[in-house]
Amino acid sequence: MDIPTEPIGSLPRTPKLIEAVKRGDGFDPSLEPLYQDAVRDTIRQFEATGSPLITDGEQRKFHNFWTYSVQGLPNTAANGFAIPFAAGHVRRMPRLTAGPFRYARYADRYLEEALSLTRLPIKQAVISPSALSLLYPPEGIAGYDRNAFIEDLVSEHVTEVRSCLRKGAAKVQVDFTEARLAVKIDPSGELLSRFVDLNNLALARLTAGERLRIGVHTCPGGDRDSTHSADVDYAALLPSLFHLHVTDFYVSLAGEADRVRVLEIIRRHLKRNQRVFVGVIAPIDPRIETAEEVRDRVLEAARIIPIDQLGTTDDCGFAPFCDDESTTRETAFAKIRARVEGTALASRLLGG
Amino acid sequence: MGSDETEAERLRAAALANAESILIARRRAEAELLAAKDALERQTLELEEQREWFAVTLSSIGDAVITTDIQAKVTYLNPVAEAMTGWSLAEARGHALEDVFRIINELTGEPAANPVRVALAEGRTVELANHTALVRRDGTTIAIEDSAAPIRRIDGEISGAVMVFHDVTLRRRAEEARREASGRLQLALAAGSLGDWRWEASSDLVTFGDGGAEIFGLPPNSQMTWTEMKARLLPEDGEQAGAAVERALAEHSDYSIEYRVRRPSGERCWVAARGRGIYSESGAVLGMLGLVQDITARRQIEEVRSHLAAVVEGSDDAILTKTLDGIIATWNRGAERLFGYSAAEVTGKPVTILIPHDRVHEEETILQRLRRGERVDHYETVRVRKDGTRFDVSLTVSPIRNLDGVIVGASKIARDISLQKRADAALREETRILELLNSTGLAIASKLDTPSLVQTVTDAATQLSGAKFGAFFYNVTDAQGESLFLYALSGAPREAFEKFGLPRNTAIFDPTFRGAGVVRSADITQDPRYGKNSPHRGMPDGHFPVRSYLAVPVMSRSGAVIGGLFFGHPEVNVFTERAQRLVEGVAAQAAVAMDNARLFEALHDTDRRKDEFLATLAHELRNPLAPIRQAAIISRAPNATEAQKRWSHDVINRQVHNMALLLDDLLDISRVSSGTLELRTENTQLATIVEAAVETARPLIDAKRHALVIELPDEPVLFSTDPLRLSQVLSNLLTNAAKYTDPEGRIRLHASSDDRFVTIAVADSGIGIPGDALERVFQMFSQVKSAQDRSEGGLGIGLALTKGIVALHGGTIEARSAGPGRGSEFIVRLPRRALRAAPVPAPTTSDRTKAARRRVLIADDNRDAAETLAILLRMEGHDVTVAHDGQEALAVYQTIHPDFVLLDIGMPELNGYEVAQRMRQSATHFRPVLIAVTGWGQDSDKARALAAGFDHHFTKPVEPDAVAALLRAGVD
Repeated sequence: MDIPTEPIGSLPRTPKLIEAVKRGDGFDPSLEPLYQDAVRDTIRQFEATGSPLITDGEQRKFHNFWTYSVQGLPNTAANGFAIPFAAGHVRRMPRLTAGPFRYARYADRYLEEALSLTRLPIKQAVISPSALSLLYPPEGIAGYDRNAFIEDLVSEHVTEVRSCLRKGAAKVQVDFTEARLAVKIDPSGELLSRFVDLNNLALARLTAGERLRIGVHTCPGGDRDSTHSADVDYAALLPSLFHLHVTDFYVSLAGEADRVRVLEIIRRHLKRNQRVFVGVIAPIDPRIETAEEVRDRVLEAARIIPIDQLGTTDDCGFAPFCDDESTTRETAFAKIRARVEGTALASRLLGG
Repeated sequence: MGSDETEAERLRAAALANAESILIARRRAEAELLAAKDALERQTLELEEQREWFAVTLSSIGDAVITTDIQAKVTYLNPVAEAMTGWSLAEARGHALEDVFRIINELTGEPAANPVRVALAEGRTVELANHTALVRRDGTTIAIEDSAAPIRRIDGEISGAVMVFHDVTLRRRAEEARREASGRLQLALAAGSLGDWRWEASSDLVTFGDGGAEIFGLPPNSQMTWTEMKARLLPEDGEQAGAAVERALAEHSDYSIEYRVRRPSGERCWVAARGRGIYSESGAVLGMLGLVQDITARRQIEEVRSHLAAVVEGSDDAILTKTLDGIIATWNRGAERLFGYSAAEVTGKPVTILIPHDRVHEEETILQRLRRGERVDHYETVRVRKDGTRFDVSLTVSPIRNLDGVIVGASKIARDISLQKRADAALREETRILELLNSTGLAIASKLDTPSLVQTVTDAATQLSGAKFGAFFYNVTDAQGESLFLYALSGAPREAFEKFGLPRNTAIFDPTFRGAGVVRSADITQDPRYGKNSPHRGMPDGHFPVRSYLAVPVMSRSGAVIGGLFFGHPEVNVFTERAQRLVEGVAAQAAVAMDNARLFEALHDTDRRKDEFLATLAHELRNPLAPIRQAAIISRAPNATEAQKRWSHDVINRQVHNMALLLDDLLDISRVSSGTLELRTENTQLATIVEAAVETARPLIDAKRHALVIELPDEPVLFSTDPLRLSQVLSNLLTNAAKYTDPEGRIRLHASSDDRFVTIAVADSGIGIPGDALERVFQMFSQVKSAQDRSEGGLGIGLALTKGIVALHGGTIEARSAGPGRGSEFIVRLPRRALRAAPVPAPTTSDRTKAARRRVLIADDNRDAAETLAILLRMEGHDVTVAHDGQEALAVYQTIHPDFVLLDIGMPELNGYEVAQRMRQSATHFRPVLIAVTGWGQDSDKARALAAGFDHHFTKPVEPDAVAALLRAGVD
């Protein structure tokens, strides 16, 4: 029995692209050739890793995995909430200034390009509505109340997800990295529950068949080899996480100090119709894992998680933010190859 | 923004504020959900009702039904599916379909594609798959047919799949059974050449099954009305068939008839038909079922059998059958006629009653061969009739087999071949005789020596006549006029007859030796001519017994009896008329062959003597040439004396004269043989002739110092004769006497005469003549051997010529001698004829008185001959010109205008005849004397010369005196 393995999504941009973005606007049309080269090269290298399912490396997501859909919206300001990372840097979100809220762009455009370059299944990552809910300022927006915003937010998210599914995404992954942050923000767990509710509100508008092709990713938020909520105990997150009305969950694990404990928590709360892809690669660790290490981590997980509910993934994307140069593309692809090979090794051992 | 803490507070406040909105939205959603839930519950109830309805329906249907969710996990099994899979619904629910519904390809055993997966993946109904088997939970398999279809929600999205399948085992068995039954039925129909048809009364349509259509020559599944079907029968049969069908329908019975069908191809066939009506409960006719069978072959066989039976009964040959034990089973009329037994008398009896005792073993031999399955063809043997007579018969015996191929008996055809046998024997005899006649004829024709010829004839004739022994007696008449010389014997050794001596000219044998005809007796001992002669008065003791007797004379073409063929056989009545004719034929051939043999011998002897003559002639001609050559040499020698020259001239003249005499004799004998020698008879004194003859022979007589005594009648004897020829005769006899008598012998010529004959006898004391040569001495080229041994020479034609001349005179000549060394005497007897009127003057001697000078042209390609004659004529004082060929002669002739022309006949380019003709044609104002000079001296040659224009003809060697005399005589 083959254990499924999937990437999270982002990969370091090409050096040329990074430099070009640094010099100007990520939406500069002159960058188009660089974007095309970056996407093409990413897919080529992805195919070379033997991955059964790939992404476009989110090469075109500007500025990052969180704000790509609203980047440049005229009714936004740059001075939204800041997300501090353990390394000390801060990533600031935009702030909605006026309604109605609409996406500037949907991720299906990235999917179209990637589908034209490969025959392999493509996963498209989208940002969760719960993450974008932080666009609305706490003081409110005149003439555009929060309820209306939530409604628009859910609607836009559903539109994006459905569009990606209809255009042929094998998987749509909802990035829910703010889940652990929500616990950090509200240790009572109420915020997390509200986030889960918000996401379920959106999922409720999709069909069961659509939901079968939707997965949710959560991690402590990796950026520049640092996280924003790794200190939050998985035990506070995971029970609520599996209340989401999806079947696939992508959970970082390789970077956890006590993976077994986390696996046991997962095991307790994982519903029978759900599958968890545990992280067996730590993107923020510059060391390239070996296939054997990956194999062992898979075997470790398989001792706790039923094998038909088990998959593997990377703990996080390798470059959620477009300017993240902490990991080279080569390192990222090498880690991905190790994940693929290690998972295969474990599959052979487990499959007999 | 403020500090991080403030930042965090603001984030938290915003997030929580959002959470409120989210909660509101969630409550709204929950309310909606509740309402939806209520509606759903209602729908669910309805669905439950429907589900229950479906479940009951699905439970009650015969097919198995399994439903799955979108992930192909089992959601429902109906009871049939439970039973077929071996899974209960509770056990199966939630399991992957493949766990519960595991299918394989029946043929290969490989896993088969699950139709549900296809339906889910492709969203379409998957039709029934063939050759699929369900592997039950307990591992057993069931052949199924399945199909799957996606289950869609209202929105069209696929929510799962439903699969329907059923056990096809029973159905397949039923189909197999049906196919088997159908196949058996078709096989049965085909095996029996059967076909079927069905008539529906309501539509009046007849539908043919495959077999029925084939029998009628129609395409499969043909349909037609009853009337159209009936029209395919022959008209007379169609009426009968229609009546039978109507009767069957009326009586509710089956019909069974036979009729003929005409197929579309025109071919006809016989059909046996059975039919049965189909009736309603009320008895109405609904239709009819029919079975038809092509019985054409059976009908043909019946016809053939009928013919065969007629043939058997009508045959002249005996045709019978018997068991393998040899018991007669059937007996035709031919057998009755041939053997004389009726069928009742022989049926059940052993066939050996027909076989002679000495051939009974043949029956077992024949039976053994039959048991081996062999056929006995044209076995010639002998059988016996009821009356005991035996006859030749040819048997053909064939085994009779039953349907299993086992030999159960034999059929025998016996044909009387007595006549054929006799005819064969006669033919063989004829062939033998023809071959014998042919070989005899060839042998006879090829033999030229009489002894082997006679033996061949005797052997052949003995075989042809059928005699026990035969003999060919060559008829030689002895002094007593009766004697037979036993020449050849056949069928018995010579020793068996030698002791009996030669058959005599008895009453039995005389007709044969006289050539009076054939004597054929069935029993010679009963012939009245038999036993009349002593000493035996019949056959001598020890002689082969002869009862049948046949004697055939052998006569030459001239009618002379050459001999006789005699045949005997100890049995009576052996020699048939045909045998007699055959022997007569052989005798005729033998006579011709013997004549031919004699002629061949005579010819061979003549040829031999001719060769001897030619050799002698050459020798005799060469003899004079030697001295002539030598004399010529002497004459030319510068130192030769006149005497020598004169001697030489004498020698030459003498030898030339001798050669001329030799050639004259040859010419004369030729004339005698051809009958062209003419006598110039005149009244002549005998003494004159004798004197001339003596004078001719005198040189030889004197040379050998013989004493010659001439005895003539006292009175002169004058008689008509050719004095020259008679002188030649007498000189020849005197010359022979001198030649063939040793020196100092005695020769006597004695002449006498009377009124009728003049007899002249010449006797000598010479070498004599053997008795068996007395007749031959007058033959051409004949010389007694003793004479040949002598050095006297001669051609041996003198006496032949003498005899010829004497015969021309009408006289005879006889030779007598007491034997070798005892002298000889030749007696010439001439008849005295009337005297002639005037004697023919003798040729005159030459007169060498000087004549007038003549211009003479001599033409001869022999230069010596021409020159010598020219010299002689010049010596006579003539002007002589010589030419050496005809053209030159003509040229000279035109120049010198000769008085005399002497032309050789045999010249190149233009011969003498042609030259003479041209000379005669050209000369108008003068006419020379043309003289032919040639070696051809026949009278015909002379006539031809005169016809060519010559005035005279001289035979070479020309006597110069004769030519000179002619020149002196002049041109007149």
